[in-house]
Amino acid sequence: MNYTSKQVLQLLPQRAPIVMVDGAQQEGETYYALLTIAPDNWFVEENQLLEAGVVEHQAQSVAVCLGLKSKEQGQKTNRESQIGFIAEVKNLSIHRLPMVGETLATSITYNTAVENIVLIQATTTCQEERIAESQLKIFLPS
Amino acid sequence: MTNYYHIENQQLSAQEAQFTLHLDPSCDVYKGHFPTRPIAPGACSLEMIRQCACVALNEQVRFMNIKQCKYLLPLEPGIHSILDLRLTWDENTINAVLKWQEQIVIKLKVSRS
Repeated sequence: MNYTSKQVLQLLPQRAPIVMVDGAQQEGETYYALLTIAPDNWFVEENQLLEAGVVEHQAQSVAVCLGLKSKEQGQKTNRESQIGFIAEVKNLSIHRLPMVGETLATSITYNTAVENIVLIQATTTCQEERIAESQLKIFLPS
Repeated sequence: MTNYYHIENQQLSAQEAQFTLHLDPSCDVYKGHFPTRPIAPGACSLEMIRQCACVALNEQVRFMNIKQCKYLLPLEPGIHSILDLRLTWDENTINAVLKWQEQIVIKLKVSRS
């Protein structure tokens, strides 16, 4: 199942110029947050997506994937497009910087939630190639 | 990343650097982050630190392997506009501490490999 950029935007508090997910896809149990890197993306420099762009894409992927999952479970929560902050990025490995025109797909593994903090493992690929992985802590103020 | 910040002052030495940075509250990024509440995006601050590291080390520094980056204080650009960045490094690692007054905003450890 595929989700449009419009559907994804409902799950994100961010707006232009810093929207870093423009689609999503469900395959079995797994959700993928997608981004096709536009030349005018905020984090593009010399035709490459900067490290910070990869981080921001992964962080927004957390909001999108968790949002789609809670929709699937029929939760009519106010979690939709709730503002969240990155609290920590740990063990981020970027294997190469992605290029303009490439499409990133990020899946998450939800580890735990402690009070307002969720712990996530995020993995980003391009086609079948592994681009980056990290552990993210996202703070969701209540 | 135009006009997210500018460098007001810098002191560079062989293994350490200090920067005084000024966040620009009129940066376009705040139109989207967030429309109802401007908060400096953590990713933009990470890129700001990387750019300062390029200046300090006088080379193209990449942040491909971040051991840890802790965000301890969300920045509101009109309030937390003047920041102090201290960078230290050796062959293997770059460490960064970004502060607003005496409070730590970001603590970062990056592997240089």
